[in-house]
Amino acid sequence: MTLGIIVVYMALVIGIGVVSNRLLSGAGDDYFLAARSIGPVVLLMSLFGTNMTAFALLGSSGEAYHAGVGVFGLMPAISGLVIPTVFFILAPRAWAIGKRHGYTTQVQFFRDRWGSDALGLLLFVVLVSLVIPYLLIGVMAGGITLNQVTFGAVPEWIGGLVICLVVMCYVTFGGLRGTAWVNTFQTVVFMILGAVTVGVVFSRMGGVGAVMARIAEEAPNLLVREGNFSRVHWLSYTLIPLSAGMFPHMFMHWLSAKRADNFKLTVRLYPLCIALVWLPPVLLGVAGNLDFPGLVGGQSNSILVQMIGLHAPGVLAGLLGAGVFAAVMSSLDSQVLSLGTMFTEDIVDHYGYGDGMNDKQRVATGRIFVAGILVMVYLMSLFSQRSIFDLATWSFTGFASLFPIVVGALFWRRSTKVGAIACVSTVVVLWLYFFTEGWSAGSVQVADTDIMAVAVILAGSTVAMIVGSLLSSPPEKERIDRFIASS
Amino acid sequence: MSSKHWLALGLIAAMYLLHNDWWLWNDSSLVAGVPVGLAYHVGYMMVSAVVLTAVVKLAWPSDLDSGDDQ
Repeated sequence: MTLGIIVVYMALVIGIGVVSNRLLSGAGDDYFLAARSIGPVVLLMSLFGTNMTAFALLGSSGEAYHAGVGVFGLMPAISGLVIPTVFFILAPRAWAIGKRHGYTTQVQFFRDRWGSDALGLLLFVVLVSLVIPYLLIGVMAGGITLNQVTFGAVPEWIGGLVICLVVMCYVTFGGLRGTAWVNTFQTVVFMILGAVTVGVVFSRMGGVGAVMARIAEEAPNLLVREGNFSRVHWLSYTLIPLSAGMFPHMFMHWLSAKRADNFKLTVRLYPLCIALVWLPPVLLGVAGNLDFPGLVGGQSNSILVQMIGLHAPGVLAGLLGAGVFAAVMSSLDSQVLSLGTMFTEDIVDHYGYGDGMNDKQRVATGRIFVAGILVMVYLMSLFSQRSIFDLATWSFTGFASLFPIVVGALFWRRSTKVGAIACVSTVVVLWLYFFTEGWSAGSVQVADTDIMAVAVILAGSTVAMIVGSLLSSPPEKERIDRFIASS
Repeated sequence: MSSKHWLALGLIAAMYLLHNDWWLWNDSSLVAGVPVGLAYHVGYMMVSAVVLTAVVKLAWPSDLDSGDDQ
């Protein structure tokens, strides 16, 4: 029954991709950017669905299992303020410039802003590298979910494989239009199923109040932040949601909007959407301590699915499995498509490898690149045993640290390509340093402090952007005027 | 920046500060069966939606949809 529901769900998702394909004109602009035609509701759902990943469902419940209810304040509460503020400041402006000059990718945008091929190539490599751990958590989550909801009958490698194949299938069929539609459908699915699931599980456990009263007796440390996070950690974590300003898949969705005003709905409703999606997994993660005590490290990745399996097996487990798959695939698809788009536009076309190709052949090169990345990520997922929360945090740390680039591009006329290259290079060096330092210890912090690595890397990249720019000459006025209006 | 833009900026800064509820840091009491720190942040997110609605009204860059962008 459980497996049947998941199979039906997958078929539905592929079906939406096929229907989108029938509406596709075959032109690159339609495949990559849905012909810049996305309205406010689909834009909200696709931006939100793209940003809600295995991190929000499995990662948050796994982290809440260890660190308690404070996880809700640490991540979603501040994301509900920072992400829509980032959208408010950046998205409509980037959209307007992108539409005016026909940009399809982030790399094109920044390369043109400062007139530097070297910057474009560097950014391409960095952005693709940082998306890989983000893709990895999605594939891992697919494996874990299918394994747990079937009580181990389906091995994890099959779940990861299924996720990769289905995503590849509907992205191939539908492009960004299909991705936006499927995301809208999937976002509704995982929001509804999350609420239903937590309702059913907690009612079977005697209600939220009864569960929290037991937690207060057996593990009161899970109800407070003292001992779970320091204030320094808490404050430096507030920088992580800045990553939304530099995600290539998010940028691509920005460019797909029909009008700048379509972003208003997203800015207004984003906090409520995040609250709806994060609350159930955090509550279930904390409650998991009562039924599955003693899980260590990445073992808690599957606590959400284990709780469903225990309290609501059968139909609900199947629906929840579909909900987790929905969350995972609604992010994977956009990430995969953005990588394919960047490869086609920024490597194949920009360097002339696509000369003589028609639109369909260009799109095909992007698909081949994407298939290669997915195969690599899938192989990595077979060996990775890391915490989903930590893997995602490292990915977000890199993207958040690139934030000065987009701010400089849109608001600072004096910024230069030297400053931008210095900024990206600083992120690469510092990120690799802190990642290698913290990886073996399973830490996302700086040495023995509680300061998140993102705080130091972002400070470094900001200084590099400013100093590098002030020590070099800005681009010609005509180029700057294309991005920032003269005052 | 106009006074409306400053007001929007002030609202967002105030919300950022309110996120750091140090006074509930070590409070394990339950409010209607929910840990008080959790209840605070759920309420905080609802207020964030209201504040962001106000920010959109106050400071939306309305010139971007003009001309051929429509």
